[in-house]
Formats: sequence, C-alpha cells, structure tokens
Amino acid sequence: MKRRTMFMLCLAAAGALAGCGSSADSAGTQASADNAPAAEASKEPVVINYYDWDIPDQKFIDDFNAANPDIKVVVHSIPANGERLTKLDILAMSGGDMDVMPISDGDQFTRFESGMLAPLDEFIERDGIDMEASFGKYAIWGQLDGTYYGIPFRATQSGVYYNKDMFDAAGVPYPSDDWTLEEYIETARKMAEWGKDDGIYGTYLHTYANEWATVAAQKGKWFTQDGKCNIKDPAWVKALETRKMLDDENIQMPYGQIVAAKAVINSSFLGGKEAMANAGSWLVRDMKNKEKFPFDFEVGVAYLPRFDETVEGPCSNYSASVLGIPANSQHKEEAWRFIKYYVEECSDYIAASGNLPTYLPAYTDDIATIFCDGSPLSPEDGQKFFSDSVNLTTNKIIESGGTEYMQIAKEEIEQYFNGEKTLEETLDNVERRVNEALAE
Amino acid sequence: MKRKRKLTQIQLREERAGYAFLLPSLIGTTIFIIIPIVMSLLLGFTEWNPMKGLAGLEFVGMENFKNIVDDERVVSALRNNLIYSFSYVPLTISIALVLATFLNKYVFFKIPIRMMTFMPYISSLVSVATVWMVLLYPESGPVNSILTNVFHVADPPKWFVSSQWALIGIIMMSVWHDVGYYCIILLANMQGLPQEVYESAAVDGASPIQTFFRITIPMMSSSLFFCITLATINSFKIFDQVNIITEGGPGFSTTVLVQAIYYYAFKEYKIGYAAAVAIVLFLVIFVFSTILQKAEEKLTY
Amino acid sequence: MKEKLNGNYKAKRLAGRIIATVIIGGLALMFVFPFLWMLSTSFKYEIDVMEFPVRLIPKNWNFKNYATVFLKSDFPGYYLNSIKVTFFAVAGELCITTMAAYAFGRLNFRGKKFLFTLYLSTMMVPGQVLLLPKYIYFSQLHITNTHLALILPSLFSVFGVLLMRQVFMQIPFEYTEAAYIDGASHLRIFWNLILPLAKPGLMTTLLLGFTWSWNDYINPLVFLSNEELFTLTVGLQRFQEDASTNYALIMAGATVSLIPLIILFLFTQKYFIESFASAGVKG
Repeated sequence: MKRRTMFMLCLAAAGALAGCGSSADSAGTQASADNAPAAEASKEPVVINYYDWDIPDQKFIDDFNAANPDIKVVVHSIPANGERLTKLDILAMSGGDMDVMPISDGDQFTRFESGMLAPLDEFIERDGIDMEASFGKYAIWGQLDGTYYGIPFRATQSGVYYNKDMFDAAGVPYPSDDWTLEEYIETARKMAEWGKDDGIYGTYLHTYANEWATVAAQKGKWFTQDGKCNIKDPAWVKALETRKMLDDENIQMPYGQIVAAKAVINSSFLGGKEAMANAGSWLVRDMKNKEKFPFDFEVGVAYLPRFDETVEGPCSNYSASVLGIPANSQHKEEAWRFIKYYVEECSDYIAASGNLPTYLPAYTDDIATIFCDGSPLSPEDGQKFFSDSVNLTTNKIIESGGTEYMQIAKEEIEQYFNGEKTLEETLDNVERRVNEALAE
Repeated sequence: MKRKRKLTQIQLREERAGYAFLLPSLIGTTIFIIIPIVMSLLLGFTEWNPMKGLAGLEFVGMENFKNIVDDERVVSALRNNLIYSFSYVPLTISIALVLATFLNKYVFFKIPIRMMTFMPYISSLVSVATVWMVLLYPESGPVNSILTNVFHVADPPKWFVSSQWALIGIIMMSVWHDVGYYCIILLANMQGLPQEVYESAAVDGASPIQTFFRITIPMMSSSLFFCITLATINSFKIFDQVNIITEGGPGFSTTVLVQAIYYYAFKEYKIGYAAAVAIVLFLVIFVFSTILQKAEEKLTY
Repeated sequence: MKEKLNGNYKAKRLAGRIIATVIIGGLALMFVFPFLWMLSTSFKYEIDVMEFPVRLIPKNWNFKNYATVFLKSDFPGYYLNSIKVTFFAVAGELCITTMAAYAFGRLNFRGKKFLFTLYLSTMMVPGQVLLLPKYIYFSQLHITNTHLALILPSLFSVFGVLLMRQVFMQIPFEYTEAAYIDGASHLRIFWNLILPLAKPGLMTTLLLGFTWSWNDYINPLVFLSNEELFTLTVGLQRFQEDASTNYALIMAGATVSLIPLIILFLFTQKYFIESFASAGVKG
C-alpha cells in the first residue's frame, strides 16, 4: 500500500518536473527575447533589471516606464543582510541579467578596480553633467583614478544623536555644534556618571570596520607619502586610545560586549541604553518607524566633534552608495537613462525614506523637513545633514587596496580593544600585514 | 566447472543490475554536481577575472598554491579547522550515540525527546547563535555565573571575544547544534539491529552499560564509521556558525578555510586563489576520509 | 523466590527508565531554547529583541508581527514555493538516491569503488566555491531564475545515497539470498524485500532531505531573482533593513515556517516505532 503511494508520488513528481521544465523554458526564452538586439526590439520595450535592497516606491518606476515607452524597468528586491553583495557580485560577474547595480558605501572601489562596472564618462560627457557641481563631495564615491563608474544616489552622514530627556534630567547642556573631541569625552563622562546606577552609558560607538576613526579621519592619513601603511599616524593612535579609554572607564559599551551581545545601535540608543550615540543618518529612518522602535523621548543631533582646535568645523563623517552599470549589461544606454532619472527625480523620495539624496540641485528648502518628518528631530537638526558648509571626511579607506586594509585593521584592532594585545603590537601587526598586502 | 560459469553469469547479471540502478543518479550527479565541481576546482590553477569571461582566464600552474604557504589567513584557518574537527567529531558522535541508545530503548516519551534534540538543527541559525551568545556572555552569562559562583573561578573566560576561548565556544555550540542530527541518523540504523541479541543479553543479566559496549558499539560499528566520516567531512566545511557569531575573530582565532575561500572569492575577487584554497581543503578532507575508510576495513573485517 | 527476583528486576528497570527519562529529558530541554527564543522574539518589538539579559517572556507584547509578515509580504506565496521546491526535490531524491544506494550497498560491479569515492568526494567541496561557476553553468543550461535550479541538484543528493547505502548494507545478505537464488530480479528484490525493511532509513532520508531543502538559503538567494519565485528563507530576509535588524518579524515568519518540519518529524518518528514493532529484522 505505502509503497504504491510512494511510487505514485514519484510518478507525480516526475511529471510535474517535466511541467516545471517547460514553464521554465518558456520563461527562459522570454528572457532571451527581452535581451534581443535593439534593432529587432523597436516595438517591445527593453527590459532593464534593477536590483536593490532598498527598493523605491513602485510609483517612481511606473512613472519612468510611462515616460519611456521603449524601456521597462523591473525592480528586484534582495535581502539587505551580509550576503546582498554576494548575490549582486555573482549576477555582475556571470553576465546575469542585471543592468543597474547598487553598491554600498565603501564597497565600490574594489569592484571598480576589478572591471565589474562599465565606465560612465562617455554618458556623463554626452549629457553634459558636471559631477562636481551636481554631487559635490559625494562625487568621489563614484570614481576611481578619475574615471566614473558609478553615480552616487544614497548617502550617509554621521552625527552624535543625544537623548534630550536624559540631558535635561542630568542638567548637562546639550552638545554644541562646535564641540571638540575633548568636549565630547567630557560630556560622555558626565552622562555616564549620571546614568551609572541605571546602567546607562554616556555614549555609543559601534564595531563596524574603522568606526573608531570617524572623528580622527578629519586629520589622519591612511597612507604615507610613498604609499605605505600609515596606521601609526598620531591621529589614529589618539582615536584608538580614546575608544579604549572610554571602554575601560565604562563610559560607553565596551567593544567586546557589543560583539558578545550582538548589540545594535538603533535598539540600544532608542531603547534608552545610552545618552548619546555616534550613528549615521539612517538612524532617522529607524526613529520614524514607531512600530519597530516605540520610544518616547526627545532626540537631538549634533555635528561630530572636531578632532582638535586646529580643525575647522562643523564636521561630519560621510559615505555614499552608487548606482552602476555592470560591464556585462546588454542595455547600457537604457540603464543610464534610468539611473539619471532615479538620481535626479527621486531625491524627495530618497529623503523621505530616511536616506540622504546626493543630487544637490534637487535640494529644496524643505528637504530637511521631508527627511526628518515623523522623527523627533527638529528641521534645524535635520538641516545639519544637508548643509553645504560641513567639513566632510570619511573613515573608510577609499584608495586602492582599501578593502584589504580595512579587513586587516579590523582583525588586528579588535584584539587591542578586547585587551589581548598592546597598542604597539597591534599597530606593528597592522603595519606589517598591510605593507605585505600592498607589496603584492 | 559448471558451477563457476553459473557464478560468473550471476556476477554479470549483478553487474548489469548495478549499472542500471546507478545510471539515473550517475547521469544527474555528473551534470549537476560533478561538472560544476570540476569547473570550480580547475580554476585553482588559474588567475581568473570573470568580468572578461573566458578571455580573462590565465593558467598560472602552481602559483596560487605557492602563495598559500605564506598566507597567514589560510594557515591559521587550517590550524583552526583541524582543532575544530578533532574535537567536534569525537564529541558529537559519542554524545549522539549515547543519546541514541537511550532514546532507542531506555526512556519514556521517546518521540517528544527526540524532537527536542532535533530542534536546534531546524531552528534558525540566528536563534541558535543568540542562545549561545547569551549562555556564554562574559559579564553575566549563566555559564560564567556558574564558573564564578559555584567553582570559584576568579577570571572566567571571555568566550567569543577571547582569542583563546572563542574557538572552544564555537565547538561547544556546534556539538550541541548537531548532536540531534547524528542522533537521528544513528537511531535509523539502530532500528535494524537484531533484537534477539539484546534479549539474550538481558536474560544473561548484562547491565545496560555492558550491553552498550559489548553489543551496541560492535554491531553499530559500520554505522558509526559512516557517521564519523560524515561528521568529519561536514566539520571541515564549517562556515555558517563562525560567520554569524565571530566572523573569524578575534584576530584569526576562529577563521576557518571556507571563510577564507569566501573572503578571497567575494571580497577580493581572487577567484582562482579561492579555488586553490578549496583544493587544499578538499585534499585535507580526502586524506582524513581515506584514513577512516581504511580503518573501517581493518576493524570490521 | 524467582518471581520476587523477577519483580525486583522489573522494578529496577522501571526506576532506571524513570531516572534516564528525567536526566535525558532535562538535558533535552536545553535543546529547545533556540526555538523558545524564536517564539518569544516573534512577540516582541524589535527594540527589545537584543536586550540584555534576555527575557523569554516579552516585556511588551507585540502581536502585530505575525499580521505584518502575512500582510506586508507575499508570505503565502513564499510558503507555496518552498513547499513546491521541497516536495519535488525530496520525492525525486528518494527515488533516485535509493536506487543508487542499492547499487552501492548491495551489488558488486566493476568501478564501484572508484564511483563511490567519486560520490563521496563531491561532498568534500564547500558550496561557497561553487557559487559563481555554478551560476554561470546553470545560466548556460537556462535554469537560473527557475525552481529547477534548486530542485535538480537536490535530486542527486549524494548525502541521500550515502545514508541509504548505509541502511541497505545493514540488512543481512542472507535475507535476500534465497530470493536471489530463486531467480528474482534485482528490481523485485529491491522493491519487495529491501525497501520495506529500510523504512526507518527512508524516513530519515526524507526528514533530513526535507529539512535541508526547506532551510536552504544561499541557493535560492543566488539562483532566484523574481520575487514570485522566492522561497521562505529568502522571502523572510526581505524584512532586513540596511544597518538595522528585524529579528522580530523574521522570527515570526521563521516560527510559522517550522510547522511543516515539526509535523514531518513527528510523522517520520512514529514510523520508526511502528516498523520496529512490526517488521523486526530476523538475522
């Protein structure tokens, strides 16, 4: 009896598989028809496949498709976790049907270097785009050695978020926009002192690669004049010592504890575990999501502290994600038109979704209001992410070899933060390994 | 004379049947499994820029393997892999065997308890990792609380944030995660054990412990070898647990080979080099599984 | 006297069993923690998920996660896809692998040792190194972005072959010898004699194969691009946001996706005992 049932099951499976096969086949031929040379496809719109983990509202896609009857943009959503780039890389490298590829902040340069993306200079020149004027400091995130491979479209700037209710209760004045690292440390210390009995820390700094360098990046240089590792730059040394000191004095959640507890900034700060948090502008997105993060206190944001008195403020740490066209794409022209549309027309949408748009001409007077609408930030605070007088620097290493450098630094430096190696040993190891890698 | 011819005829029949039974699997395995594997491994002798398609393929001979020798990441990974497998396999299989023995005969509520031991294997890895991070939390986790309060350990390990202890933490978690899996496999094989032997042992008044060592283990030896081989192969491919908890850190203390492969293939785009590391991993596993097979032949015949 | 001894023995055995049950059951409780964490997380607000010390009973109950999972994603669609992929993969796997396992486990033929080593070797290559070549190759075969890219490789699960071979080898050869001498075909022996005896093994292959396909994440992620084709594991990750976590929603979905596995487990294990009681192998 049972065996007969099983046999039938197998038969059914075989039959259905054949069915799957044919339907798959038709899907396959459809896909290849979509990819047919443009000459033949004068009637059928060209399909542009755009993959992203933060997909735009379908309305923008529909608008574009309506305005461009010869193009049909199809958006594919991918998970925003650690493997997102693996999926995109495989599609880009294998010549899978991907025409528009997003690359998140700092990850783009190895990809530009590897030839994964098509150079965009021709398009930029043809359409007369002045990258510097249109994208300001964000422009460098799209280029490598003077050639553009990506157009910046979503950006992040850091700030120090502070819990106003806690500051009020402690009687500590809110951070000023012109503060220095010393003042930041003092403020954090005061708030930690105040919150000690409730287990509230003074501030929070996450464990992302190079996160310890956000402030020091105003002064530090990753490479020496002759292109060697410069991790012993006094600015980096100071930054590492500062993190370690704040950890050891329990002014912020120690590095090892963040790792051991898998702490995350949003839950931690919005959960009232610390008075301040050094975080990106994406925290605004999370503050808007009351279903996920129900909290009831007022929040302000200050610029990052200045590293020392010699640095001109106000300062922020920043990075940008770009849209690029895989070198294997069959429809670069159409892909370019979509990228241009998305970057130029959708700034308000990008701002509303809690990201910083990068196309400066689209910055209107209410963009800051749109950006922080729904969060407890005042428009004045929101404006800090859109000001053009900010001294923007980045903690990411965007020169060639940066990915490897950052990986090595993370591997070695966590042992210093965890108290397993001295600073000297750590710096020596980073220097040696980075120089070895650079020599290759 | 006549007998011999008949025998070969039987053998021939058997051989034909053997090929016939194997054929569907062999065709599919070749197309969907063996070809991709051979393609991937051959890349170990090349430097490949996949963006340039086949034109980007450059044969470099043993170059990649020469570089592996002084690659700190790979060497540390290999060491960690060996430590991991040598502790994980014996622990997992012996615990699974004891557990299976009990769950086969000596307890009530067999099915619910089996279900419970299988839970970690089917639960999401994030939940498994979280539970272990909580258990081994250095400051106030239950394990360290017991160590300090009951055993008066002055300076309990910092587990996942300590270079010395992180790998041990990973081993403990993996053993716990996989015991249910091997327990299920062993149970399936225990079902086939002839009951008479157990019954006569019981009549002779053998204690359960005697029965376990004198009957269960010898009769299960083939299944045990199977599980040990399986566990060895799988243990060398460890990746997910490490990736989710320590990402290989602190330093290189929990870096494993698959992680190095992933890093080179998808962070640095050294596809050829990553494949070379995979070949090293393959050879290591191959050596150990061959040793296991030889040992099985020696011990069971 | 003898009766008393016997009673003593029985009482001892009963006591032993009770003690064993308590100890093993207590240990087994530890194995349920990840599931309890999933369950409790699915009723939390994200803000409370990573709180230390962890509370298994949520501080603030949030019943909306399940509704969100069902309403804000194509959860039923993912579910159906997972069922479809897993069903075909496992049904096909059982047919193909048991046949191959019969050949490896109970028949002699030239090249057997080599082929077996070849099969075993395929398990020694980590999937991560295969991803890119496999994607390129599968796109040549025109099966990327279809469920076939997931089903076809699973059909030829080498693990299934190894497991069933082991089970078949356990069955004493004397058992089939008579039928063999009588001239029964191997197909008959396989179908009528061996398979019925291998039920616990078949059920285990079914269970483990099903679990593997059901929980597979990296293959659906890499091979599927159209959202209509997504399986549960990939679909649920859509709730993940950049620089953030969304464990509460993901765990709500994951908890619901465990149901088939639990049912299947109970089903296959029940089979164990039954077959054990009825068809004990006579050696």
